[in-house]
Amino acid sequence: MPGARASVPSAVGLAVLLALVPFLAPGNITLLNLGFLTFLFVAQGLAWNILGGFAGYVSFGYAAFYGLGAYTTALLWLAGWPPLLTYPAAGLLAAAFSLIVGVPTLRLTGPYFSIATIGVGEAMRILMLNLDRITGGASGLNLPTAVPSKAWFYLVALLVASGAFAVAAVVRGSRFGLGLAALRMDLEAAEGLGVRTALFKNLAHTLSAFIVGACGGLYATYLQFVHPDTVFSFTQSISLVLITLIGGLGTLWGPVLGAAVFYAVQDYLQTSYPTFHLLVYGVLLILILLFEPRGLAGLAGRLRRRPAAGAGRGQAGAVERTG
Amino acid sequence: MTPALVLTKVTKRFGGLQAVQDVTAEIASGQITGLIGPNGAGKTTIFRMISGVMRPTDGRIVFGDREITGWSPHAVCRLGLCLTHQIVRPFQDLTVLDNVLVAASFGSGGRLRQSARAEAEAALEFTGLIARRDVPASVLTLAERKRLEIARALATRPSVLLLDEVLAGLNPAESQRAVELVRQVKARGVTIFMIEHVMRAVMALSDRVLVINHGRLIADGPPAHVANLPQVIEAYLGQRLEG
Repeated sequence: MPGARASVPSAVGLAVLLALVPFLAPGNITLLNLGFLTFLFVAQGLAWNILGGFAGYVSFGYAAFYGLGAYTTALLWLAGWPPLLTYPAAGLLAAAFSLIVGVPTLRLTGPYFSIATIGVGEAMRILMLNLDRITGGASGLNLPTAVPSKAWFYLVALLVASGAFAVAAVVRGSRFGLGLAALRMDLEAAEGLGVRTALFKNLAHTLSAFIVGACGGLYATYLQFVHPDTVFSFTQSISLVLITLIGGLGTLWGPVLGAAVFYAVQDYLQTSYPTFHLLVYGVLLILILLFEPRGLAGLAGRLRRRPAAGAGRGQAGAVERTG
Repeated sequence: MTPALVLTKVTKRFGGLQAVQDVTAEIASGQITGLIGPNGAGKTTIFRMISGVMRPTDGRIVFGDREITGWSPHAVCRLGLCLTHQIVRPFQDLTVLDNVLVAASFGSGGRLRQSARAEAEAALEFTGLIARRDVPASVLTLAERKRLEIARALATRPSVLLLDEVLAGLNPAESQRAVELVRQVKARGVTIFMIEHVMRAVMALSDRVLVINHGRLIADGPPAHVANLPQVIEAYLGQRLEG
């Protein structure tokens, strides 16, 4: 896939450049915080896109994985585990839960699936609010305060985001990715040509849940506090949908661009106008769906192709593939 | 020779409607078997049950030496039985080659990327679509889409191919080419079971014809014989007026 192949060097270059930031500006906490949270959204957007973009199953329930990951890390950390070891455990628990949820719900398609995932997400939030013995309920859980530096968090989040990008790139270019693209366009035809659609959908779901769960764990150690209403919030779920739609559904770079814009807008507007960012997302979403359904990535591709319309044909074909 | 496909008392009910009733038939290996009948007779339902899209209410379907009743479509496909759809369903945003690559990658017997690609290209070559390999499937004409259905089905390496009205909607010239293509597929040793409304084509192509009406098998035999049976004429034209 020419598109994916050309993406890898640029992604590696970008990651190396971003990795230099903590060394060049070690004292700039604002920048490191902004970077950390953006990378966390990049990783989750990329993960969400594997199921939502590549396979076409739009889930509004990913907060369940994020929250489970956050609480797994929180509880293991309180039990004395070193934070770094809790992240894979957080991912694994989220992945296991995604199977329990995915096996029944992924039999639904289109809006029916999306609605079911809203139910799962909200049910988890309410359940966790009421399991106060374990989760601290409405008062949340305070976590240890002995944490690594902001630079450490920045770099770990960058590593997770790079890992998520690599996973998405490999999936997109693989036989598995081809199967996902086929089942997105026509489930019955894909099944009839030998694609194990139920298995593939669940694999995509579980893979992305693992990444999102690990992100939740990372977030818990960063904040040193977890609360069901934040980590299991519907806002958390919808953020991933917005990031991917703004950036470009089903594209490799979409979630990266989307998360950068999303978090910058939120960070900039939330302090001065607390709810104004929602309006901005709303308008952005309408404009994107009307004029460029491939989001910012599609727009960038269009601008890049214009100067060399003829030379861009191969690229266009590659975009078609997982579009 | 053992038959490629054996249906035993296959039945499908939708609530109170008997769509297919007690259909028992053997599809001979290496031949072209036609399946005809008036609209709504249950032909497509039979195909959907064989390919695993629908589960029969009753009865057994045996493919080769394996009973496949109730198997899921991907498993049936991997075993070597593939269905082409009456209403073509290409993966619109994929290129023609990628469409066939899906079939070549996931069809019967898993394949590595390189050989899947060669297989896909061979299927496009065979169906005369190779020049269109890099265009998105959405721009193909109907005749080309029908060819793409066949190319995709062939790329799964089937031993039995179910063709659901591959000639419907084609003009006479396209139809002629499609008939030729079906002959060539047979020549490769693939068993063909086909639903067709274009009588001239069925009669010319088929080694044997099954006729169903109201979900029941009403005739089974060589085309020339079947065409003259009174119950077949009645099914198509209604009862003869007396006087």
